[in-house]
Amino acid sequence: MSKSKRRSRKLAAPLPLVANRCDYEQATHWGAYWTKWGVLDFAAGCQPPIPYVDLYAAQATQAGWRQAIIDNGAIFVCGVGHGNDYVFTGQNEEILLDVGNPYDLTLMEGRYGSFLSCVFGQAAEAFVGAGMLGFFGYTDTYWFEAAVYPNSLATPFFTSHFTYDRALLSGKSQREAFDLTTAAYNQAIASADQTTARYLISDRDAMHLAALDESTGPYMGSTQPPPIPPAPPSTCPIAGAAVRLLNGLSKALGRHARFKAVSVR
Amino acid sequence: MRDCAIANFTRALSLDVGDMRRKLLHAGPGGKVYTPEQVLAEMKTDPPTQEGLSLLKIWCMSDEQVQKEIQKARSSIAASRQ
Repeated sequence: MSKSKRRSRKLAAPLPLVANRCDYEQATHWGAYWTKWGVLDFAAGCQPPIPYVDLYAAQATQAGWRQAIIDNGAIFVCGVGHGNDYVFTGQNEEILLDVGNPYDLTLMEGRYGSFLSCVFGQAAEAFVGAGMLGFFGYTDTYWFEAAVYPNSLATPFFTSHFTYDRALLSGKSQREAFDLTTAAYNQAIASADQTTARYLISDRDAMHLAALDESTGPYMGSTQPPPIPPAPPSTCPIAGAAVRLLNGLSKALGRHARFKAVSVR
Repeated sequence: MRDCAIANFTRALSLDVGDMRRKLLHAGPGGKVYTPEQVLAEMKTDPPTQEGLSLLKIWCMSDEQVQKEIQKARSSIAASRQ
């Protein structure tokens, strides 16, 4: 083998990732923003940069998802979408993965996944049993608080969750990533008020990892994290207070309606 | 319950889930946010959905239990720093 060939193999780019960033209502609108921050911006800053396919909004279709994974030979799939115990969805709840569909089980063979979705973690064992290398998700409803898009009260939820993806992109194993994510949730819980803590505890306890071998990861030994990882948008504690103040005003004015910073369908 | 929206990533597969979500998060004119007591009242009148059960679990935790979890989280952070 020539020197240049050996060098090019050594410097070969890490295998790509594919991210579902559907964006069609409030929860996914938040999720799409944070997936860009949590995964895509981070991947771009890794050394060497990790190539990615960003399936944003209308691109997050079943056909687009399948094609992106196959054509790019993705090693890691991730992102945000509504889900239940057997499906993970994209734009307008189009099914991207269905545990009952043999095609999808085969599609995930030899790949790693992290899914920010309600309940889809319950399908983890079935996918891993069919040859998926690792599956991180949530076995219960995933809750977050939202006040002023896209940050404020939502920040501790998303920064905790994306600790997992970022750890994998940094070359950690799935077990290490899981433990770091648990620690991130604990950190958020430790500094949260009683209300926020309730939701964070629920999300932390719903975390689930299934893997053929937890000591492996998609980028082990091939990447380094960005020298300066992109910081999350600063939280704005005044937002919650402002909403409370507006509600107080509303009450004082004798109105029944309560102000909400966002409406969730 | 805090006066902000709570959101989640449950796919509304049935009317039950959709109805429950509307009741919990977006109920009534003016976007009224339900209090924990009202959520619990809803649970008694409706068959609990997965989403409803999750909320129920969250809000049935006593303040003391939550405080204990917060303390546990703080201890675990302190232990990892040593």
